[in-house]
Amino acid sequence: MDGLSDYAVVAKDLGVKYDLRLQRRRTLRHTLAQIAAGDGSATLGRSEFWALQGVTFALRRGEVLGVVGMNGSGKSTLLQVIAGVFPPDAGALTTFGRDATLLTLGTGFDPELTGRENIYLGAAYLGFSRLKIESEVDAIIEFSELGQFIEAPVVTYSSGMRARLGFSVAVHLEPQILLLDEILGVGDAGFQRKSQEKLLELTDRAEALVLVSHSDRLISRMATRVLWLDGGRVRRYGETDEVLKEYLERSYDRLDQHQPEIGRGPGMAEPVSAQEITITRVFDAPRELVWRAWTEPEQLVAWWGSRGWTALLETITMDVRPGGTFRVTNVYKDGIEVPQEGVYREVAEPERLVMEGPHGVSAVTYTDLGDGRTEMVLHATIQITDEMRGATEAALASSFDRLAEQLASRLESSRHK
Amino acid sequence: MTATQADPAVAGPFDLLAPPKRSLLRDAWGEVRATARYSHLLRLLVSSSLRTENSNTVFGFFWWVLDPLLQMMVYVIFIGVILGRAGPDYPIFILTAIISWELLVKATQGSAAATLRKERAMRQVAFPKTILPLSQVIGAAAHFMFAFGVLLVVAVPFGIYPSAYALLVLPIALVQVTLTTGIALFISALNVFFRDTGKIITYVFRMGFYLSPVLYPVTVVPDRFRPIYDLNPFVTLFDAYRAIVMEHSLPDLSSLGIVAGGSIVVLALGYLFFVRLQTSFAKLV
Repeated sequence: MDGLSDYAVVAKDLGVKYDLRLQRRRTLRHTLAQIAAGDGSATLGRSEFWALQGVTFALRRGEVLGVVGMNGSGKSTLLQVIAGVFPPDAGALTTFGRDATLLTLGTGFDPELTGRENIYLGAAYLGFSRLKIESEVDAIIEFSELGQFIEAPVVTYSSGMRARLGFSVAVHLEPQILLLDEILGVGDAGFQRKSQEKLLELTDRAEALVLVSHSDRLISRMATRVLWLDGGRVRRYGETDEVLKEYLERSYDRLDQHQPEIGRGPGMAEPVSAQEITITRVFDAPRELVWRAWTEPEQLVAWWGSRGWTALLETITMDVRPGGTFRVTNVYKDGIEVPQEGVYREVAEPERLVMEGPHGVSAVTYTDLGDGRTEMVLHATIQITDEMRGATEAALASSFDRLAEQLASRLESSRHK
Repeated sequence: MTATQADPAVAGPFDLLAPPKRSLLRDAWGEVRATARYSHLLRLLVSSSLRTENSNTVFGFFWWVLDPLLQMMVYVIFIGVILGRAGPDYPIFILTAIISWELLVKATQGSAAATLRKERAMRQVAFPKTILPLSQVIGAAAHFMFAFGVLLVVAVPFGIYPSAYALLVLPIALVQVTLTTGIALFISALNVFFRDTGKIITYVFRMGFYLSPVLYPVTVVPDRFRPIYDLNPFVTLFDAYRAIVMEHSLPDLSSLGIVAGGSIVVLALGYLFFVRLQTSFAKLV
């Protein structure tokens, strides 16, 4: 029989419930309106939502658990409950007294304080004693490459410096159980390489690792077990190769539920709410050219995804007709891969293109302005968190900037011919 | 085949795993123990908030002195000079109450802001969240003790010299801090869910300021209102502070005892309220 000391994380019928009546950004007016309407839960449809239900798994020491599933399947919630951010609402979970920490950048930082002071503060939030922090502080400062800036307030830092400091704190305080929501890559190319190495070193040293990722390559490389979550329940749990194979097959089979998403960030909180995003752009290019940029793989790779990301031509499938498949994988530098999938709902060349996926629907209309210019309106109704909204809009804007450049250079080259 | 049942991969010591017994009191006790474990974080939060709050101002720490004095001057000019009804020691009379009232307002508003500002940390890290309001209350209490020292100095030109009775500020302030912590816990938990809370309390405090004997002595309140009026714990607290500073006498111990008992009840209820809601802090959309 296995001794208990062989196990790092054990969960049995684990459940986490969200009370939909309690929502942030809820104002009194909103609540009063609901009460006036007769029932607080009526406007929401239901008053509770199980983000996780009946989740059972046992992770031994030295193992790496890969967690896969679509957005909203409960992956982040699972990390939160293992980290002890909230207790389970059903079932049981134990880490046998070991600390489990989610690797995050700059949690608890106070921008008014200096970098050095923030090292202490950030580490204290993670529950590390002063002694432990003091023994690591020099190594943290050195790793961050901040030099004398460590004595300057963090508010004066660039975002890259902040990320470097946050990363350095996070990786030097080695938790016994490490929780990772995507592999983080920060800073310039040199620091990225260094941080990836440090991260791998950290995963080696942790007693167990739980890794959430959208990259099946990363999961298959690192995980010893895979937990596939689907709608908050365990769809499959077992050996990496078996589960991953089935997960990928199923993902490709059910394209109806997939949708392109441009530049997703890690750490999404769930559940999500419907968000409407509308972006209007006028391009100095004929409509036919804009249409082709959206519907031909060779054109799409030149601009798809925000700056810094690269769409891989060999991963693209574009069956541009109603019900047809859309599939592309975006790569960030040489680290993170984000596969995107969707299905075309409406294809009206060259006026309108509608794509649908797990988050909702994106409709793009192209209007010929008659003077050689084209107005493009993207209207998306997607299920994301409020927090992700800004990031999504920024990613779309960045991608459309690249589209504008691409169109300009295409026109330029055609004029020269 | 359901994967979790038949899959040999899911072998594990599940039989040994019983759902933990949870109750509000158990959770509250767990929170207390966690707070002790995280006392290092509490200390850092207090010291960093005390250091950063005036760090961008020209006068910096002088604001610790200036704040209560300027407030006092505004009311002295308004009531003493314009309305012309104030005795010679009126500035000290109101300053005593103003610094005590500031402790309540600063602690509560700071706590309400703290639970909103640290949203991200609350979602990502498992730390005892009561530390956020506690650090604000401790910071405000430190301000108060400092301002009390200023009060004793400022009182000298008015012919009021410090006496040994001034040391009684410690037990009296302890009663007030107990009460204030309970209120701050309640307000800061509520503010996570209803952002209006922060706005509403601004007006509640403003009304409370005039309904409490800050600018006037209790004796101006008509006798028939006194039974209700005296339910305000600040009637007793201001009275106690004024007794030890201005009258060099013991405060009314029986009413202070009642307020102390009530404050402990408020603290307990505020703590339980916060602990009950805090598991939902990280689950908000």
